Amino acid sequence: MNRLFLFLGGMMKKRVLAVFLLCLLLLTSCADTTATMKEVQFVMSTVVSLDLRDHATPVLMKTLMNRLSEIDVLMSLQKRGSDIDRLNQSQGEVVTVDPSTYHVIEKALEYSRVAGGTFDPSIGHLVNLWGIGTEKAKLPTQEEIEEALQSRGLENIELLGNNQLRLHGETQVDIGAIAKGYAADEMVRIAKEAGVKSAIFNLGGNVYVLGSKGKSPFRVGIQNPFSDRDDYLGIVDVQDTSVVTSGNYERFFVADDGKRYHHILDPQTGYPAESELSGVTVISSNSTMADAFSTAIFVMGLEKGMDFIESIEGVEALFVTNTRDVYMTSGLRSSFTLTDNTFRLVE
Amino acid sequence: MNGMKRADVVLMIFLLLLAGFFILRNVQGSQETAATIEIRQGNEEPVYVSLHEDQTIDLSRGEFVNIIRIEKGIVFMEEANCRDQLCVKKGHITHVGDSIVCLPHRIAVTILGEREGEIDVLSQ
Repeated sequence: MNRLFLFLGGMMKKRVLAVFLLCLLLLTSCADTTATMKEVQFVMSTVVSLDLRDHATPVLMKTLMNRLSEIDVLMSLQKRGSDIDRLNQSQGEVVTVDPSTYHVIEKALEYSRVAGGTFDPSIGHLVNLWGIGTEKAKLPTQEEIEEALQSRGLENIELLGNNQLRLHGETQVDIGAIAKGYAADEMVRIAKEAGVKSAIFNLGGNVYVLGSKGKSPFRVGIQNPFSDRDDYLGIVDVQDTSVVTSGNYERFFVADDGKRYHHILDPQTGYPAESELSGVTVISSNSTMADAFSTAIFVMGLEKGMDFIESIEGVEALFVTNTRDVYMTSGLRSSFTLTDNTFRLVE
Repeated sequence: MNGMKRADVVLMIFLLLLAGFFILRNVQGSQETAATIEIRQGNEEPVYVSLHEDQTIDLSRGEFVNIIRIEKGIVFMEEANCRDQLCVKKGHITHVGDSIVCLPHRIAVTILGEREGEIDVLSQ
Protein backbone atom coordinates (compact mmCIF):
# COMPACT_ATOMS: atom_id res chain seq x y z
CA MET A 1 0.00 0.00 0.00
CA ASN A 2 2.86 2.39 0.90
CA ARG A 3 4.55 1.67 -2.39
CA LEU A 4 1.38 2.59 -4.21
CA PHE A 5 1.23 5.99 -2.52
CA LEU A 6 4.88 6.53 -3.33
CA PHE A 7 4.12 5.70 -6.94
CA LEU A 8 1.15 8.05 -7.10
CA GLY A 9 3.27 10.73 -5.46
CA GLY A 10 5.81 10.24 -8.24
CA MET A 11 3.11 10.54 -10.86
CA MET A 12 2.14 13.92 -9.55
CA LYS A 13 5.61 15.42 -10.06
CA LYS A 14 5.05 18.56 -12.03
CA ARG A 15 6.90 17.69 -15.23
CA VAL A 16 5.16 14.36 -15.60
CA LEU A 17 1.84 15.93 -14.88
CA ALA A 18 2.44 18.54 -17.56
CA VAL A 19 3.22 15.90 -20.20
CA PHE A 20 0.21 13.88 -19.08
CA LEU A 21 -2.09 16.86 -19.42
CA LEU A 22 -0.64 17.65 -22.83
CA CYS A 23 -1.46 14.10 -23.91
CA LEU A 24 -5.01 14.45 -22.67
CA LEU A 25 -5.34 17.67 -24.59
CA LEU A 26 -4.10 15.97 -27.75
CA LEU A 27 -6.51 13.10 -27.19
CA THR A 28 -9.51 15.37 -26.80
CA SER A 29 -8.58 17.40 -29.85
CA CYS A 30 -8.56 14.12 -31.80
CA ALA A 31 -12.20 13.52 -30.84
CA ASP A 32 -13.13 16.35 -33.14
CA THR A 33 -16.64 17.41 -33.97
CA THR A 34 -16.46 16.12 -37.55
CA ALA A 35 -15.65 12.51 -36.61
CA THR A 36 -18.04 10.05 -38.22
CA MET A 37 -18.71 6.44 -37.28
CA LYS A 38 -21.02 3.69 -38.42
CA GLU A 39 -21.76 0.44 -36.69
CA VAL A 40 -24.06 -2.48 -37.41
CA GLN A 41 -25.23 -5.04 -34.86
CA PHE A 42 -27.82 -7.73 -34.35
CA VAL A 43 -29.99 -6.54 -31.49
CA MET A 44 -33.74 -6.44 -30.70
CA SER A 45 -34.17 -9.44 -33.04
CA THR A 46 -33.16 -7.35 -36.03
CA VAL A 47 -30.23 -5.64 -37.73
CA VAL A 48 -29.52 -2.22 -36.33
CA SER A 49 -27.27 0.29 -38.03
CA LEU A 50 -26.18 3.48 -36.28
CA ASP A 51 -24.57 6.06 -38.54
CA LEU A 52 -23.18 9.06 -36.66
CA ARG A 53 -22.24 11.81 -39.10
CA ASP A 54 -20.51 14.12 -36.61
CA HIS A 55 -19.33 14.19 -32.98
CA ALA A 56 -18.81 10.42 -33.10
CA THR A 57 -16.72 8.69 -30.45
CA PRO A 58 -16.31 4.99 -29.63
CA VAL A 59 -17.70 5.73 -26.17
CA LEU A 60 -20.88 7.26 -27.57
CA MET A 61 -21.32 4.37 -30.00
CA LYS A 62 -20.98 1.90 -27.15
CA THR A 63 -23.46 3.85 -25.02
CA LEU A 64 -26.00 3.72 -27.86
CA MET A 65 -25.53 0.01 -28.53
CA ASN A 66 -25.74 -0.79 -24.81
CA ARG A 67 -28.98 1.16 -24.54
CA LEU A 68 -30.48 -0.96 -27.35
CA SER A 69 -29.52 -4.21 -25.60
CA GLU A 70 -30.96 -2.83 -22.38
CA ILE A 71 -34.31 -2.01 -24.02
CA ASP A 72 -34.34 -5.45 -25.63
CA VAL A 73 -33.73 -7.19 -22.30
CA LEU A 74 -36.44 -5.11 -20.58
CA MET A 75 -39.21 -5.14 -23.17
CA SER A 76 -39.01 -8.46 -24.99
CA LEU A 77 -42.14 -10.62 -24.88
CA GLN A 78 -40.15 -13.82 -25.38
CA LYS A 79 -37.06 -13.29 -23.20
CA ARG A 80 -37.41 -14.94 -19.79
CA GLY A 81 -37.00 -12.47 -16.94
CA SER A 82 -37.73 -9.36 -19.03
CA ASP A 83 -40.00 -6.75 -17.42
CA ILE A 84 -42.76 -7.85 -19.79
CA ASP A 85 -42.21 -11.52 -18.99
CA ARG A 86 -42.28 -10.83 -15.22
CA LEU A 87 -45.45 -8.81 -15.66
CA ASN A 88 -47.11 -11.55 -17.71
CA GLN A 89 -46.20 -14.17 -15.09
CA SER A 90 -47.33 -12.00 -12.16
CA GLN A 91 -50.87 -13.43 -11.75
CA GLY A 92 -52.41 -10.24 -10.43
CA GLU A 93 -49.53 -9.27 -8.16
CA VAL A 94 -48.09 -5.74 -8.24
CA VAL A 95 -44.92 -5.63 -10.34
CA THR A 96 -42.23 -2.94 -10.31
CA VAL A 97 -40.63 -2.38 -13.69
CA ASP A 98 -37.86 -0.19 -15.07
CA PRO A 99 -38.96 3.45 -15.59
CA SER A 100 -38.48 3.08 -19.36
CA THR A 101 -40.75 0.00 -19.52
CA TYR A 102 -43.35 1.87 -17.48
CA HIS A 103 -43.11 4.83 -19.83
CA VAL A 104 -43.55 2.67 -22.94
CA ILE A 105 -46.56 0.83 -21.49
CA GLU A 106 -48.10 4.16 -20.53
CA LYS A 107 -47.56 5.45 -24.08
CA ALA A 108 -48.87 2.21 -25.57
CA LEU A 109 -52.13 2.58 -23.62
CA GLU A 110 -52.44 6.21 -24.65
CA TYR A 111 -51.87 5.51 -28.37
CA SER A 112 -54.15 2.48 -28.25
CA ARG A 113 -57.02 4.63 -26.92
CA VAL A 114 -56.37 7.35 -29.50
CA ALA A 115 -56.33 4.74 -32.27
CA GLY A 116 -59.57 3.11 -31.10
CA GLY A 117 -57.91 -0.19 -30.22
CA THR A 118 -56.51 -0.91 -33.69
CA PHE A 119 -53.15 -1.06 -32.00
CA ASP A 120 -53.43 -2.94 -28.70
CA PRO A 121 -50.73 -3.73 -26.10
CA SER A 122 -53.03 -6.16 -24.29
CA ILE A 123 -52.93 -8.87 -26.97
CA GLY A 124 -49.85 -10.67 -25.63
CA HIS A 125 -51.77 -13.99 -25.62
CA LEU A 126 -52.69 -13.62 -29.26
CA VAL A 127 -49.15 -12.66 -30.31
CA ASN A 128 -47.74 -15.68 -28.48
CA LEU A 129 -50.42 -17.94 -29.94
CA TRP A 130 -49.52 -17.07 -33.53
CA GLY A 131 -45.79 -16.89 -32.79
CA ILE A 132 -45.16 -15.12 -36.09
CA GLY A 133 -41.50 -14.32 -36.52
CA THR A 134 -40.50 -17.16 -34.19
CA GLU A 135 -39.87 -20.85 -34.82
CA LYS A 136 -43.20 -21.69 -33.21
CA ALA A 137 -45.31 -19.86 -35.81
CA LYS A 138 -48.49 -21.80 -36.51
CA LEU A 139 -52.10 -21.32 -37.59
CA PRO A 140 -54.20 -21.44 -34.38
CA THR A 141 -57.69 -22.93 -34.22
CA GLN A 142 -60.74 -20.66 -34.10
CA GLU A 143 -61.32 -21.66 -30.45
CA GLU A 144 -57.77 -20.77 -29.48
CA ILE A 145 -58.12 -17.35 -31.13
CA GLU A 146 -61.42 -16.63 -29.41
CA GLU A 147 -59.96 -17.61 -26.08
CA ALA A 148 -56.94 -15.36 -26.62
CA LEU A 149 -59.21 -12.48 -27.66
CA GLN A 150 -61.21 -12.78 -24.47
CA SER A 151 -58.11 -12.08 -22.40
CA ARG A 152 -57.47 -8.71 -24.00
CA GLY A 153 -58.57 -5.36 -22.55
CA LEU A 154 -56.74 -2.10 -21.94
CA GLU A 155 -58.57 -1.68 -18.63
CA ASN A 156 -56.81 -4.81 -17.38
CA ILE A 157 -53.46 -3.03 -17.43
CA GLU A 158 -53.52 -0.92 -14.28
CA LEU A 159 -50.87 1.79 -13.89
CA LEU A 160 -50.21 2.41 -10.20
CA GLY A 161 -47.54 5.11 -10.49
CA ASN A 162 -43.99 4.79 -9.16
CA ASN A 163 -43.14 2.32 -11.96
CA GLN A 164 -45.58 -0.19 -10.53
CA LEU A 165 -48.41 -1.89 -12.35
CA ARG A 166 -50.84 -4.74 -12.03
CA LEU A 167 -52.43 -7.00 -14.62
CA HIS A 168 -56.01 -8.14 -14.17
CA GLY A 169 -57.73 -11.19 -15.57
CA GLU A 170 -55.81 -13.24 -18.11
CA THR A 171 -54.37 -10.25 -19.94
CA GLN A 172 -50.83 -10.47 -21.28
CA VAL A 173 -48.89 -7.37 -22.30
CA ASP A 174 -46.93 -7.04 -25.54
CA ILE A 175 -45.20 -3.80 -26.49
CA GLY A 176 -43.21 -5.36 -29.33
CA ALA A 177 -45.05 -3.14 -31.82
CA ILE A 178 -43.59 0.06 -30.33
CA ALA A 179 -40.38 -0.93 -28.53
CA LYS A 180 -38.28 -0.30 -31.66
CA GLY A 181 -39.85 3.12 -32.06
CA TYR A 182 -39.02 3.92 -28.46
CA ALA A 183 -35.48 2.65 -29.01
CA ALA A 184 -35.10 5.01 -31.99
CA ASP A 185 -36.28 7.93 -29.85
CA GLU A 186 -33.72 6.95 -27.23
CA MET A 187 -30.92 6.88 -29.84
CA VAL A 188 -31.84 10.43 -30.82
CA ARG A 189 -32.01 11.62 -27.21
CA ILE A 190 -28.60 10.18 -26.30
CA ALA A 191 -26.93 11.33 -29.54
CA LYS A 192 -28.28 14.87 -29.16
CA GLU A 193 -27.01 15.04 -25.59
CA ALA A 194 -23.55 14.13 -26.90
CA GLY A 195 -23.71 17.01 -29.36
CA VAL A 196 -24.48 15.00 -32.51
CA LYS A 197 -26.17 17.16 -35.13
CA SER A 198 -26.59 14.66 -37.95
CA ALA A 199 -27.18 10.90 -37.86
CA ILE A 200 -29.11 8.05 -39.44
CA PHE A 201 -30.50 5.39 -37.11
CA ASN A 202 -31.91 2.33 -38.82
CA LEU A 203 -33.52 -0.22 -36.51
CA GLY A 204 -34.47 -3.02 -38.85
CA GLY A 205 -36.16 -0.66 -41.29
CA ASN A 206 -37.53 1.71 -38.62
CA VAL A 207 -35.62 4.82 -39.60
CA TYR A 208 -34.84 8.01 -37.70
CA VAL A 209 -32.89 10.77 -39.42
CA LEU A 210 -31.42 13.31 -37.02
CA GLY A 211 -30.70 16.72 -38.49
CA SER A 212 -29.97 17.02 -42.18
CA LYS A 213 -27.25 16.26 -44.73
CA GLY A 214 -25.50 19.60 -44.66
CA LYS A 215 -27.82 21.90 -46.53
CA SER A 216 -30.12 19.27 -48.00
CA PRO A 217 -32.56 16.93 -46.27
CA PHE A 218 -32.03 13.18 -46.00
CA ARG A 219 -33.49 11.01 -48.76
CA VAL A 220 -35.39 8.09 -47.26
CA GLY A 221 -36.56 5.33 -49.60
CA ILE A 222 -39.93 3.68 -48.97
CA GLN A 223 -39.85 -0.11 -49.41
CA ASN A 224 -41.74 -1.55 -52.37
CA PRO A 225 -44.04 -3.99 -50.50
CA PHE A 226 -44.17 -6.38 -53.48
CA SER A 227 -40.43 -6.87 -53.78
CA ASP A 228 -38.33 -9.37 -51.83
CA ARG A 229 -35.36 -7.11 -52.42
CA ASP A 230 -34.32 -3.67 -51.16
CA ASP A 231 -36.39 -1.84 -53.79
CA TYR A 232 -38.07 1.42 -53.05
CA LEU A 233 -41.14 2.81 -54.73
CA GLY A 234 -40.43 6.41 -53.84
CA ILE A 235 -38.38 8.78 -51.75
CA VAL A 236 -39.26 11.23 -48.99
CA ASP A 237 -36.98 14.21 -48.38
CA VAL A 238 -37.01 14.75 -44.64
CA GLN A 239 -34.99 15.89 -41.65
CA ASP A 240 -35.28 15.45 -37.89
CA THR A 241 -37.94 12.81 -38.17
CA SER A 242 -38.72 9.15 -37.92
CA VAL A 243 -39.94 7.18 -40.95
CA VAL A 244 -41.61 3.92 -39.94
CA THR A 245 -42.96 1.48 -42.52
CA SER A 246 -45.16 -1.52 -41.77
CA GLY A 247 -46.36 -4.08 -44.22
CA ASN A 248 -47.66 -7.58 -44.71
CA TYR A 249 -44.37 -8.47 -46.41
CA GLU A 250 -42.22 -8.01 -43.30
CA ARG A 251 -42.66 -11.07 -41.11
CA PHE A 252 -44.97 -13.86 -42.13
CA PHE A 253 -45.23 -17.60 -42.44
CA VAL A 254 -46.96 -19.88 -44.89
CA ALA A 255 -49.33 -22.27 -43.08
CA ASP A 256 -50.26 -25.82 -44.12
CA ASP A 257 -53.30 -24.41 -45.92
CA GLY A 258 -50.87 -22.65 -48.30
CA LYS A 259 -51.98 -19.20 -47.16
CA ARG A 260 -49.59 -16.51 -46.10
CA TYR A 261 -50.10 -15.09 -42.59
CA HIS A 262 -48.32 -11.85 -41.71
CA HIS A 263 -47.44 -10.35 -38.33
CA ILE A 264 -49.81 -7.36 -38.03
CA LEU A 265 -52.69 -8.80 -36.04
CA ASP A 266 -56.12 -7.17 -36.00
CA PRO A 267 -57.11 -6.99 -32.30
CA GLN A 268 -60.80 -7.26 -33.31
CA THR A 269 -60.64 -10.46 -35.38
CA GLY A 270 -57.53 -12.07 -33.91
CA TYR A 271 -56.24 -12.72 -37.44
CA PRO A 272 -53.61 -10.87 -39.50
CA ALA A 273 -55.19 -7.59 -40.63
CA GLU A 274 -56.81 -7.81 -44.05
CA SER A 275 -57.51 -4.67 -45.97
CA GLU A 276 -56.74 -3.14 -49.35
CA LEU A 277 -53.31 -2.17 -48.00
CA SER A 278 -49.94 -3.82 -48.55
CA GLY A 279 -47.79 -1.27 -46.77
CA VAL A 280 -48.03 1.96 -44.81
CA THR A 281 -45.47 4.53 -43.73
CA VAL A 282 -45.81 6.99 -40.86
CA ILE A 283 -43.60 10.07 -40.58
CA SER A 284 -43.34 11.82 -37.22
CA SER A 285 -40.62 13.24 -35.00
CA ASN A 286 -41.92 10.89 -32.30
CA SER A 287 -40.85 7.40 -33.38
CA THR A 288 -42.71 5.60 -30.58
CA MET A 289 -45.90 7.17 -31.88
CA ALA A 290 -45.01 6.50 -35.52
CA ASP A 291 -44.43 2.83 -34.69
CA ALA A 292 -47.78 2.49 -32.88
CA PHE A 293 -49.72 4.35 -35.56
CA SER A 294 -48.15 2.47 -38.48
CA THR A 295 -49.62 -0.71 -36.98
CA ALA A 296 -52.90 1.07 -36.25
CA ILE A 297 -53.49 2.48 -39.74
CA PHE A 298 -52.53 -0.80 -41.39
CA VAL A 299 -55.34 -2.40 -39.37
CA MET A 300 -57.76 0.52 -40.01
CA GLY A 301 -57.38 0.35 -43.78
CA LEU A 302 -56.99 3.18 -46.27
CA GLU A 303 -59.99 5.41 -45.66
CA LYS A 304 -60.10 5.35 -41.86
CA GLY A 305 -56.31 5.39 -41.63
CA MET A 306 -56.13 8.48 -43.84
CA ASP A 307 -58.74 10.35 -41.79
CA PHE A 308 -57.02 9.31 -38.58
CA ILE A 309 -53.56 10.60 -39.56
CA GLU A 310 -54.97 13.81 -41.08
CA SER A 311 -56.55 14.52 -37.68
CA ILE A 312 -53.17 14.46 -35.90
CA GLU A 313 -50.94 17.47 -36.27
CA GLY A 314 -47.32 16.93 -37.26
CA VAL A 315 -47.85 13.34 -38.39
CA GLU A 316 -47.91 12.31 -42.06
CA ALA A 317 -48.55 8.97 -43.72
CA LEU A 318 -48.25 7.12 -47.00
CA PHE A 319 -50.47 4.19 -47.98
CA VAL A 320 -49.71 1.58 -50.64
CA THR A 321 -52.63 -0.58 -51.76
CA ASN A 322 -52.68 -4.14 -53.12
CA THR A 323 -53.34 -2.65 -56.54
CA ARG A 324 -50.18 -0.47 -56.46
CA ASP A 325 -51.99 2.79 -55.78
CA VAL A 326 -50.14 5.24 -53.55
CA TYR A 327 -52.08 7.64 -51.31
CA MET A 328 -50.63 10.19 -48.91
CA THR A 329 -51.65 12.81 -46.39
CA SER A 330 -51.70 16.41 -47.58
CA GLY A 331 -48.57 17.44 -45.67
CA LEU A 332 -46.44 14.88 -47.48
CA ARG A 333 -47.10 15.93 -51.08
CA SER A 334 -44.23 18.40 -51.25
CA SER A 335 -41.60 16.00 -49.92
CA PHE A 336 -42.51 12.69 -51.63
CA THR A 337 -41.26 11.63 -55.07
CA LEU A 338 -42.52 8.49 -56.77
CA THR A 339 -39.58 6.73 -58.44
CA ASP A 340 -41.12 3.41 -59.48
CA ASN A 341 -43.58 3.90 -62.34
CA THR A 342 -45.29 0.56 -61.81
CA PHE A 343 -47.04 2.38 -58.95
CA ARG A 344 -49.69 5.05 -59.43
CA LEU A 345 -49.84 8.21 -57.39
CA VAL A 346 -53.44 9.05 -56.45
CA GLU A 347 -53.94 12.76 -55.86
CA MET B 1 13.52 9.34 -7.83
CA ASN B 2 12.32 5.79 -8.01
CA GLY B 3 8.69 6.92 -8.28
CA MET B 4 9.60 9.26 -11.09
CA LYS B 5 11.05 6.48 -13.23
CA ARG B 6 7.97 4.34 -12.78
CA ALA B 7 5.80 7.22 -13.85
CA ASP B 8 7.91 7.65 -16.98
CA VAL B 9 7.39 4.01 -17.86
CA VAL B 10 3.65 4.34 -17.31
CA LEU B 11 3.62 7.39 -19.52
CA MET B 12 5.57 5.60 -22.25
CA ILE B 13 3.18 2.64 -22.23
CA PHE B 14 0.28 5.05 -22.36
CA LEU B 15 1.73 6.83 -25.39
CA LEU B 16 2.47 3.55 -27.17
CA LEU B 17 -1.09 2.35 -26.60
CA LEU B 18 -2.39 5.64 -27.89
CA ALA B 19 -0.29 5.38 -31.05
CA GLY B 20 -1.38 1.77 -31.51
CA PHE B 21 -5.01 2.76 -31.22
CA PHE B 22 -4.78 5.36 -33.97
CA ILE B 23 -2.76 3.13 -36.31
CA LEU B 24 -5.32 0.35 -35.87
CA ARG B 25 -8.19 2.74 -36.45
CA ASN B 26 -6.72 3.97 -39.70
CA VAL B 27 -6.12 0.44 -40.97
CA GLN B 28 -9.73 -0.50 -40.23
CA GLY B 29 -10.99 2.65 -41.90
CA SER B 30 -9.07 2.12 -45.12
CA GLN B 31 -10.64 -1.29 -45.71
CA GLU B 32 -13.96 0.33 -46.38
CA THR B 33 -12.93 2.52 -49.28
CA ALA B 34 -12.59 -0.20 -51.93
CA ALA B 35 -15.45 -2.24 -53.38
CA THR B 36 -15.67 -4.56 -50.45
CA ILE B 37 -18.21 -6.91 -48.95
CA GLU B 38 -18.71 -6.91 -45.23
CA ILE B 39 -19.85 -10.18 -43.71
CA ARG B 40 -21.28 -10.16 -40.22
CA GLN B 41 -22.07 -13.22 -38.19
CA GLY B 42 -23.79 -12.40 -34.93
CA ASN B 43 -22.04 -9.55 -33.19
CA GLU B 44 -18.56 -10.81 -33.98
CA GLU B 45 -16.00 -8.61 -35.72
CA PRO B 46 -17.03 -8.40 -39.38
CA VAL B 47 -15.01 -10.11 -42.12
CA TYR B 48 -14.19 -8.20 -45.32
CA VAL B 49 -13.78 -9.77 -48.75
CA SER B 50 -13.34 -8.29 -52.20
CA LEU B 51 -16.37 -7.91 -54.44
CA HIS B 52 -14.16 -8.56 -57.47
CA GLU B 53 -12.82 -11.95 -56.50
CA ASP B 54 -15.19 -14.76 -57.45
CA GLN B 55 -15.60 -17.16 -54.56
CA THR B 56 -17.95 -19.27 -52.48
CA ILE B 57 -18.00 -18.57 -48.76
CA ASP B 58 -19.39 -21.20 -46.43
CA LEU B 59 -20.69 -19.58 -43.24
CA SER B 60 -22.37 -22.74 -41.98
CA ARG B 61 -22.14 -23.45 -38.29
CA GLY B 62 -23.60 -26.44 -36.50
CA GLU B 63 -27.08 -27.02 -37.90
CA PHE B 64 -27.19 -23.62 -39.62
CA VAL B 65 -26.31 -23.70 -43.30
CA ASN B 66 -25.51 -20.46 -45.17
CA ILE B 67 -23.45 -20.36 -48.34
CA ILE B 68 -22.64 -17.07 -50.03
CA ARG B 69 -21.48 -16.80 -53.61
CA ILE B 70 -19.63 -13.84 -55.12
CA GLU B 71 -19.51 -13.85 -58.90
CA LYS B 72 -18.59 -11.08 -61.34
CA GLY B 73 -19.38 -8.33 -58.86
CA ILE B 74 -22.70 -9.73 -57.70
CA VAL B 75 -23.43 -11.36 -54.38
CA PHE B 76 -26.15 -13.83 -53.47
CA MET B 77 -27.07 -16.41 -50.85
CA GLU B 78 -26.64 -19.65 -52.76
CA GLU B 79 -27.99 -21.89 -50.06
CA ALA B 80 -29.47 -21.60 -46.57
CA ASN B 81 -31.61 -23.81 -44.37
CA CYS B 82 -33.28 -21.02 -42.39
CA ARG B 83 -37.05 -21.23 -41.93
CA ASP B 84 -38.06 -18.15 -43.93
CA GLN B 85 -35.57 -18.39 -46.84
CA LEU B 86 -35.74 -14.59 -47.15
CA CYS B 87 -31.97 -14.42 -47.67
CA VAL B 88 -32.11 -16.81 -50.62
CA LYS B 89 -35.18 -15.09 -52.09
CA LYS B 90 -33.38 -11.76 -51.87
CA GLY B 91 -31.48 -12.80 -54.99
CA HIS B 92 -28.58 -10.81 -56.41
CA ILE B 93 -27.23 -7.65 -54.83
CA THR B 94 -24.80 -5.40 -56.67
CA HIS B 95 -25.09 -1.84 -55.35
CA VAL B 96 -23.27 -0.09 -52.55
CA GLY B 97 -25.39 -0.24 -49.42
CA ASP B 98 -27.38 -3.29 -50.55
CA SER B 99 -27.46 -6.13 -48.09
CA ILE B 100 -28.62 -9.70 -47.64
CA VAL B 101 -29.76 -10.50 -44.13
CA CYS B 102 -30.51 -13.91 -42.66
CA LEU B 103 -32.11 -12.92 -39.35
CA PRO B 104 -32.76 -16.46 -38.05
CA HIS B 105 -29.03 -17.24 -38.42
CA ARG B 106 -27.86 -13.70 -37.60
CA ILE B 107 -25.91 -13.12 -40.80
CA ALA B 108 -25.68 -9.82 -42.68
CA VAL B 109 -23.80 -9.31 -45.93
CA THR B 110 -23.41 -5.71 -47.10
CA ILE B 111 -21.67 -4.14 -50.09
CA LEU B 112 -19.50 -1.29 -48.86
CA GLY B 113 -18.14 1.72 -50.68
CA GLU B 114 -18.81 5.35 -51.30
CA ARG B 115 -22.56 5.59 -51.62
CA GLU B 116 -23.63 7.12 -54.86
CA GLY B 117 -27.17 5.86 -54.61
CA GLU B 118 -30.26 7.96 -54.80
CA ILE B 119 -31.26 7.34 -51.18
CA ASP B 120 -29.50 7.57 -47.81
CA VAL B 121 -31.51 4.88 -46.05
CA LEU B 122 -34.47 2.58 -46.69
CA SER B 123 -37.58 2.52 -44.50
CA GLN B 124 -39.03 -1.00 -44.63
